Amino acid sequence: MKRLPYYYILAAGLILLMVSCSVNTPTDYTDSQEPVSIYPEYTDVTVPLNIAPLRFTIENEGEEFVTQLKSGDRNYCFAGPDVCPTHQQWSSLMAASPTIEVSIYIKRHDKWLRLKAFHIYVSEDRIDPYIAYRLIAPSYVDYEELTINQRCLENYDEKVIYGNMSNSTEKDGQCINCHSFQQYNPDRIQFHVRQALGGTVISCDGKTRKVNLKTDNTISPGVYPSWHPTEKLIAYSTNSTSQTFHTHDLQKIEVQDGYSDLILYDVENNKVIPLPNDTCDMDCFPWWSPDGKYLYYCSAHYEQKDSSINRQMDLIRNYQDVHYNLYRRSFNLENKSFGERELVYDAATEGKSATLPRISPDSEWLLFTKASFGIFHIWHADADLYLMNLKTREVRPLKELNSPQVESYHSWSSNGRWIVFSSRRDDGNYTRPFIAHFNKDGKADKPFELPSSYPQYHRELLRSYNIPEFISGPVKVTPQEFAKVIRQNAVQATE
Amino acid sequence: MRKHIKIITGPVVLLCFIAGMCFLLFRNESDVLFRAQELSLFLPTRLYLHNLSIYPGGLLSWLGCWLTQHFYHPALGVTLLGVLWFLISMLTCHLNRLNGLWMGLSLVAPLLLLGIITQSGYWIYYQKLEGFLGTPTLGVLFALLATEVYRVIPERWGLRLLWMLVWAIAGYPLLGAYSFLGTLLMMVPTSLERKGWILQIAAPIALGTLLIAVVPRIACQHFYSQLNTDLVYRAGMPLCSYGENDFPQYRLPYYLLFLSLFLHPLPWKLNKQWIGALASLILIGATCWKVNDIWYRDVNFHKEIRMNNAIRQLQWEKVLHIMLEPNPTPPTRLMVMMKNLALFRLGRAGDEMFHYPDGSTIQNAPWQIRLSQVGGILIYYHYAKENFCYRWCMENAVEYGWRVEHLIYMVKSSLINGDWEVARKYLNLLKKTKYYHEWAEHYETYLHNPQKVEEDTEMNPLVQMQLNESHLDSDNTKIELFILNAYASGHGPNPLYQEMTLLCSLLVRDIPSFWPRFFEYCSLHQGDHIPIHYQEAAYLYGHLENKVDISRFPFDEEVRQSYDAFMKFNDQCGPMSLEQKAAAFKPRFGDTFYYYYFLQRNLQTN
Repeated sequence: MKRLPYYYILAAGLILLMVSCSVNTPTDYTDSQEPVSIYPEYTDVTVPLNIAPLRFTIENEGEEFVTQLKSGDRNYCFAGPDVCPTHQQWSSLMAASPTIEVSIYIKRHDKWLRLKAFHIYVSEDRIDPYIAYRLIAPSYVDYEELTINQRCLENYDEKVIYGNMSNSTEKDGQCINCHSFQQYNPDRIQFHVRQALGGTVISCDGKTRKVNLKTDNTISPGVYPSWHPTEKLIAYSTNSTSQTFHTHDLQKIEVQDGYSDLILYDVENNKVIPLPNDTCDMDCFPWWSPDGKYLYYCSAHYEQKDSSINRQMDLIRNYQDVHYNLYRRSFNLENKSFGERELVYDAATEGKSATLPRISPDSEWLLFTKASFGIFHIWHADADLYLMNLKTREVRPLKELNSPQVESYHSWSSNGRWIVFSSRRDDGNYTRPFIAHFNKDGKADKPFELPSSYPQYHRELLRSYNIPEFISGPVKVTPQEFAKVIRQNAVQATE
Repeated sequence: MRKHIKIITGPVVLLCFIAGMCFLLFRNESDVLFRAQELSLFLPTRLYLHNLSIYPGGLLSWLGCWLTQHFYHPALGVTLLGVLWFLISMLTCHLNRLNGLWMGLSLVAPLLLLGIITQSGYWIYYQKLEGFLGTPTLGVLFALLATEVYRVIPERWGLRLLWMLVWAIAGYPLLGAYSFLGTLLMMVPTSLERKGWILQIAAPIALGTLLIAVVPRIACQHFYSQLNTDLVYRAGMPLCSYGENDFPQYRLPYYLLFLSLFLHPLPWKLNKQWIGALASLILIGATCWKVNDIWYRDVNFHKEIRMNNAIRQLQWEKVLHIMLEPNPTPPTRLMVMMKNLALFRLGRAGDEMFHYPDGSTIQNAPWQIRLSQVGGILIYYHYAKENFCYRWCMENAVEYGWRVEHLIYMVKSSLINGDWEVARKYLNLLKKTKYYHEWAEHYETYLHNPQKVEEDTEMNPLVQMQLNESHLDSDNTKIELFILNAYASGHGPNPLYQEMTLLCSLLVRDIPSFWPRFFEYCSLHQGDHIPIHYQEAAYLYGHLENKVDISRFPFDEEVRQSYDAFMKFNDQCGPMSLEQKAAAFKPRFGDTFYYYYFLQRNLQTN
């Protein structure tokens, strides 16, 4: 066989190069007032300087498409409905000016239309380079493949922190949940393993172990965690949870606590310290203030209405009457004791329920979720994000971020300038992380969906993102190392 | 000319034999194969391939799913299988230099591959290995092809060993355990001559053994973060276990299949054709016997699938026809529920519900089959419990992998619920499939168009049966009980919904819930003839309790007579066990509500 002459290869390369460079914006076009329709919805969003390229697909009807991304003296054109700038192109656009102008040209019936340009605003506020989340199908009772993942926000790299299948068998399935980090530190992570080989995995500065936090005096092992910002202490709720199904409602499932309390776990001394609580109060979702002097949480007071049935059944019947308020307790680090509870936000008197308190790193803002009732707002379409100014205690809905669908779990970036939150706005069922810039004056800019390597990724993905949390870098403990620790017996915590 | 005829005779005979196998498969298992593709999914997307590739053997699963999708047209799928089996057969002959009558030996593997498919039975619902109907065929084919490459490569410079290394390293991620099969086949010496035995015999065996031992371990330790270390050598193979129970008998054909590929080198030096004929006859005969032995022929299993397929096409009469076909055992609960559904849709449940065989035969599988996993999705959908339909689609998808069936029912239930955007999500996925994109395009026009949903022949009654109010409930995986109790305690103004509540109150034999629903039915259908079973129930309950005055109700004379005859016969029978009574009453009264109420008492639901 004759070898292909090198100049053929060169010519082919040149042609390829010419084709790739030959996309130009049409010169003969008409301006159209037709609104731009793209997925993900990236029009007029604000993004951090270090975010991965926003790739999107054009959903306006057309036979041909040309999209121009322009910033300062940089200008890139893309043919076709999928607009996928490379990392290099994206970086140069971001560097050129703080505003990227996006113009879309559509060919219909042999005539070009130019849609009204939109902008992508580039903020100089950097974002933490990683987020961690659990990927799970939005199932109800059954589970199979679950992973806690870390995703680099500066590109599309996603890696598994731990996957449950490495220790699951047909006989003994394993659930994993509630990952949490101390102050964005990937070297201090904890998550729970349920059922097979159950326990709480705590990795602290290279030492990883599995502990059993269930004691004789606690409702359950630790559930929803919060690391103390500076000390090796983790506050948990302990919960007795049940799930029931809506016969018709689109929300499909109601997750409820029958009982819940708070505990403090001393990592170094392997000791569980229960917090005082009334049996009719259900405390949940603890969260430390950035200075570690207060523990915020939500709590519902529920007195059983029908004593002839058990509490869980009573709660199922009256699930719409469970309302959580936000409280806090002062914390004395020296003797590891808590003060009396203080009401921070009374949602119950409004007939609402407030959960998931999260304080901004500058301690000025309290972000929480509010819905009509209940605790597990990810299944409540009316759940929205609310913001409290901690100085004035003024509360407002964070309309800039909310949608008609669920907005729930939320985290602040380490510099307090970004919020990542869970939303089901795409389809009402699958949770996706959205990121929003948060200004110093307490206003948020339009959020953008977590960028993906190709535009349809989240539409094809049949899993939800749970608990998106910022981290300052990747977790270094490998999944195999976690798997090995999980195979060992759990260390029993003491009281 | 003779030489040519001699050359092609062998392949032609092999082809004919394999065509016969395909014919048998097509004739007996078309419905099952169609159902199998409904219980599988192939998407030509990056993400789909990526999701399968997180475990070794991902590419094989992907190709297995690709092959399975073609069972949408069972003839096409079976033809593709036949082509692959023929290739396997020819490769086996070529690799092992089988000729003449010895070529018959190459049919053992295809026969066992047929057996692997036909033994499946309820595994089509429970098998977690995606594309499992196609993976053995493709895995064996790739292993043989790799061996063929190995043999073609010259022996000098250790090139064959290099290929073995490449194959072992690349094959494991792509083909899982089937890569070991290829490596093992390469390890088989092609000659036993002393000269050069180190390079030809010892080195391949040593390297192959080392690679099989080491490659999966390294891969698991460094690349596969979600692979259980206990499964590293079984990656790409079906699990054949459910819950706490393992069923190794289903793995036997796989072992035999692998073993069969190593039998061929034996006859190299045995050129006598009569030995080849004898060996072929014995081995093919034994394999045929085994395949026949493991072939899953359960009548209820096949009927369930045929009824399911009929319901999919809204052929309600066909459902009833299948139900009436002769059966060696009573029906399963799934069959009974599908029959009741068909009668309800035809508006004949009140008159004919007890005219069909009833029973609760447990599905013929060595593990407990749950209705929620084999037919619950369809049942919930057609009984208008759309949230529960969606829920079980999701639960089963999570546990057994995403299937076309899940996407279809999630679309339909979401359309009825008005959950448009999530319906769009699933439609977008179905649009990427080869055989369901037209279906998806059709239903795409229903999005945000409740009127179109309401006008749809299939969905119209389901829309009518939706209630606006919602409450919390749980089926505890007992689907039939849940549906019956939910309707028996339900109230709704819509005539269809109302009749379902009456039907279910009959089936749960609950007298207090029967009366209000019966009177409501009568007022909704004034002037109409009241179906016979409702009359029977009213007549029976009226006499049993004497709480409701039925004296002025215009019962059919037939109802009065059958009740009197039933009671008279009961007096004549004297003391008998329930089973004896049921047998005695069945010929005369088996089609009455009285019989169901008093004597059909031991039904177990799953």
